[in-house]
Amino acid sequence: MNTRLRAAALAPAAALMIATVGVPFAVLAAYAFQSRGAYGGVVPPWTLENWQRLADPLYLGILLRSFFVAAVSTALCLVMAFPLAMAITRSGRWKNLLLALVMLPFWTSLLIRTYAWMFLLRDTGLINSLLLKAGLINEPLPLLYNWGAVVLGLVYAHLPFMVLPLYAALERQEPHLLEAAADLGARDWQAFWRITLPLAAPGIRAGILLVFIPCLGTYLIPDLLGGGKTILAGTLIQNQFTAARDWPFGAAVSLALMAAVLVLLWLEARRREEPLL
Amino acid sequence: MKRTLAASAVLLYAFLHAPLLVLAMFSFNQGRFTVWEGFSLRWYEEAWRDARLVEAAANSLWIAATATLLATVAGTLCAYGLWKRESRMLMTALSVSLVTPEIVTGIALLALFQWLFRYAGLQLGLHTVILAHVSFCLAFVVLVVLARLRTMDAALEEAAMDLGAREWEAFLRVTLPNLLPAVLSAALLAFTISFDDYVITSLVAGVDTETLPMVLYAMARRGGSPVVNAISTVIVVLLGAGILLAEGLRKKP
Amino acid sequence: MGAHLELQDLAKEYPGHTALAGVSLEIAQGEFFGLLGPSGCGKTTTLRLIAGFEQPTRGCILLEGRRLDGLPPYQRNVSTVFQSYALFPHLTVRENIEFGLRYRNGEGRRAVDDCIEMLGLGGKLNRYPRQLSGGEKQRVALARSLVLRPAVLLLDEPLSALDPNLRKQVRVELRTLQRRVGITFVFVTHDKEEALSLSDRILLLKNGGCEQLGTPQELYLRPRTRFAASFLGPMNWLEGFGLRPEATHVSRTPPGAGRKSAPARVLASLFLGNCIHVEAELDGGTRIVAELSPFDGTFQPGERVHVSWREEDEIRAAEP
Repeated sequence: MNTRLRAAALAPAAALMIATVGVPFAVLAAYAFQSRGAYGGVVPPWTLENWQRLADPLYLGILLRSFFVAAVSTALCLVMAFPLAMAITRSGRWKNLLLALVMLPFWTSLLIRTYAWMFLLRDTGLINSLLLKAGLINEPLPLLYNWGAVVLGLVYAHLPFMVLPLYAALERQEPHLLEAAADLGARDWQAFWRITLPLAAPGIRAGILLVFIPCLGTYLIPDLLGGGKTILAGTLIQNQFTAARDWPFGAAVSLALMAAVLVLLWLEARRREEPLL
Repeated sequence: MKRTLAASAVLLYAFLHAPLLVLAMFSFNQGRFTVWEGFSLRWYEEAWRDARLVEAAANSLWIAATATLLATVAGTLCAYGLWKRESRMLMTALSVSLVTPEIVTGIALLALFQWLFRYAGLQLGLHTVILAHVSFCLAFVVLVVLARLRTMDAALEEAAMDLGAREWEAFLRVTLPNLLPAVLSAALLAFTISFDDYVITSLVAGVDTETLPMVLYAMARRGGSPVVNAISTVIVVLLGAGILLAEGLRKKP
Repeated sequence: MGAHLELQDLAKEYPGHTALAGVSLEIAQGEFFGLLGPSGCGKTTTLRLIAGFEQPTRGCILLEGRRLDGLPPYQRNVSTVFQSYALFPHLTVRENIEFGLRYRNGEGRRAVDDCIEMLGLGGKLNRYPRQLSGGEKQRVALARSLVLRPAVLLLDEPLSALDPNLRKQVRVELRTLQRRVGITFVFVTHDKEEALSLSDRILLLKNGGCEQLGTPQELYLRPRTRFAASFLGPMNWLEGFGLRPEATHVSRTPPGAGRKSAPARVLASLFLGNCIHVEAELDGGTRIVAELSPFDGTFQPGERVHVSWREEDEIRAAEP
């Protein structure tokens, strides 16, 4: 193709990426090595202090907690998505419909899906109302604004991201393999452990990545379902740029989070034959 | 095994869809509380009469439409250019933009705008929101369109040129018509993502601009009201209809 | 006949590998010309260079004495029938055929009607490519190119996408079509049978270079190298020369005068219907294959026999 034509085709996107990804990250990087002004804002001198503060037990705790919460949510997603993906693979002519039903929430606002759980879990929510009405409890259970609610919200929001790569991996498996395993004496669950699961490994890895990364940087879900009591990396960043007005430290946390995401992605990209994107 | 799978699938589908169904159901509830008191459209009326909500919805529509148009055009051209020849730099930038947590995208853009506005006397507002939305929608558009291009026979364009069409004519007469379903899906995806976004928007919108998700978020944080249910239902139904429509168009030859 | 299409020292190099290493060639007007060779030999590159999808790194292409290289594909009076046919999936058969008329008016509607009739596409004009069979797709691709009356028609593996039963029939049709339109056809194939049956002349390529140029008979019966001999068909290699299996005879009794012969022992004998396939080991240890008439009777493994041939059937090929 004509190089000039190709350059023209790429130009708008390239300009946009430079202006809205390249430059902002450069600005953040510059902020992360400076100091906080008396009224917020960013002033010299250049310093490593923001990075040292990341090792402060308070902040380190928040970062580690983010990893932990993301890991737990990812594990739950995996456990739930696997049977679902298997069921879809074996559903014959219903396959497309069932797959669409998994995809559907993906097209629905994250905010609305999260609010739906607030509506169910809050003190005056559906679950508490029903339980009270049934006389099973005398006062509402504290279902909302705790870690359990946050993990529930994360699992709910990210389940489709786990189901799709698992489905893709399972769908590729030759159905005769299980028959061969049975023929050689393996029971259903033995065939599952020794055939289905190992062959689904690329799908599992992709799914873990697709769920873990957004969970790690989540902001909206813990803010709504945790009610401000559950501080994760995303909340910490938002806080530094609003209430605390400590932009340099916020920039350092952002870059640290970004680094974690990119390292994870790089580790997976190295193992894959085909590109992730 | 089979029965266990089927049972868990039923439970998981209930888990995925029941919350939204319940939410929608109670948007038609007569009463304010989570006890069914009879069918009514009063919450829809209330939402419609709320000037702040209507203005926010108009803002959201305007932002999503503009951002979708720009991101779809830029993204389709970009995917086409990348299909012709890979560009590692651009590919990496797009991947980074795709995996960046929203909160980081938001504050990075906020930092950029603040830094720029220190030198130019501009303000945060609709324009900064639109720019941010075009930016985060772009990677999705490129992803969808490029996936379709990669399944396309590269010989089609060569054939067109072989028959006398210039490069741009080959693109317009052969590639684009075959790409249209993917472009449409990409546009719809961009619209959905843009229309739904709260985290980035709230950071770069400034004090005078409010979008529908921003209003809903504020209402949800205050504990919510059936009005939120009503608006949510409208959004889900309208976007769902859009998707079905797009799917229908795609199935046609 | 003077040269119609001429390649002069045509070469194409990619970083780290040479696709075509300087090929010179003259093709006459109205010739059906085959480019034959194994994958990676440079035959497709040659075709794409003539079509203009790639630019040569050296050498030039002349069409009726005018330089073609450097021109974009849309300014060359040559047309390609792609291996995948590359029919536009969003256009009907008629729209596909008329696609190029906007740019090169040729003879316009008349040409379209002629081509449609000639290729028997009358009943399919409103169909879309996905509703066509493999053979029909190929005819649409041919029509789409032929309405433009190109000076040269390029065909990339024209029969490879068709199912084997159809190939023999299409082979005859292509030959007839080419005679009828009188256009120079240049086609690429890796299939020796296709090359032998269709071409007036064949260029055999190997590793980007010219191995042998000649008529099908010359290539098959008088190959200049061992590679050419083996690529065009099975060979028995004896001391200093080669023999085609069908020129090799096996008999229980010694052959008559005028035939060369060698004693041998039968290893296996297979009845294939149209011939008998006999494998034997000469007393020197060389293994040979012979194709005999099915009416000659069969042999038992271990049987002592005489392998014989005519001296004029010996193929003296250069070593590589």
